[in-house]
Amino acid sequence: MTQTGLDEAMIQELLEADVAFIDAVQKALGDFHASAPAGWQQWESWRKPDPWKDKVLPHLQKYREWSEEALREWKKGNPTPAVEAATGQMGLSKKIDFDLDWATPENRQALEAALDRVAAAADRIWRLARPQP
Amino acid sequence: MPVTPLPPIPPPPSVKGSGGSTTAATPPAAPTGSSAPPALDPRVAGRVTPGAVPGTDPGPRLPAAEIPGPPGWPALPARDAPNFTDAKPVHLTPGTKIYRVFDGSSNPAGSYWALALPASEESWRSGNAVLDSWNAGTQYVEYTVPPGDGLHVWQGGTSGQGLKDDGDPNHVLTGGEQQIWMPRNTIPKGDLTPQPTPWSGGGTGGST
Repeated sequence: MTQTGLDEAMIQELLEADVAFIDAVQKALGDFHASAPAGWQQWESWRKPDPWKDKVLPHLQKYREWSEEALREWKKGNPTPAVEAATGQMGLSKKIDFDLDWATPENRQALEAALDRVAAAADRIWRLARPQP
Repeated sequence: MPVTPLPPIPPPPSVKGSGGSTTAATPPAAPTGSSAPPALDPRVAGRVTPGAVPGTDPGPRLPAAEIPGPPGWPALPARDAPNFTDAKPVHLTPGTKIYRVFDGSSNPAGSYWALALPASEESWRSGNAVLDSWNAGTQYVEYTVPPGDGLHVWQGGTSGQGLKDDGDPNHVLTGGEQQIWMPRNTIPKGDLTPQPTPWSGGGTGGST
């Protein structure tokens, strides 16, 4: 394995991306519930924001903890948790294949951007930890 | 797809300061492994994900860079490209059947589809690299491309996935099956009727 170029800033970026994504989800959920359309509770479950609250948010909070640990361990000289955190967060766009029509266009855009940022940060770290063809 | 455990990781390199001097040397005693085993996700505790194999490296994948499509195709976004080991623009002709396995919380008209309905949970999770904690795989939809222009999609091999998310960082789902990507909600949701997957009970669908 080569670790050429892996540095604290990349791990910090992954952590900040996780936090930004959590913030974006919480804001989108808050905005929705502040002016939720009448009868939304009767929507089919996949149309509701609930999967973002019940599934996405807990995973993101776990990711943030991984990244926090990765940063702490990096400072102690242990890069392994950073690689594990990045590996665990890869594939996020496929994992989060949930409906977003419940969110405002502005919040949808923010969520998409936040997802892009986590995916890029995780991918960057993982590639440095793996021999590439 | 072969699964190659990651070799040991060396300590982090020294960090160069703005003046070019070494400002952060290798710490005196660098540990080489994770500090503590992760807690198992309660939902998946007690079982190894069906189709998982030992390993820590989910395997090769495309770079995280947008792949522009030919005229008429959507671009494959940078965040989705690494979910493929390879990808090419494909025209699905009218009459082509595609499948999507999901659960009640997922969008039936999501982005990721397959060319066949897997026969078992094991083959689905393994070949399509789907984690237990994200997708229970209790339902599927089948979509037949209607008469007309067909569908312009991306098709390629599924990248593997590590299982740290499921509290099991020492196993991976190797992927390898062909998967299809299209922008979310390309297919009208009204055209999709969820059915139980064969492995969740009550389903009659089989592979094609």
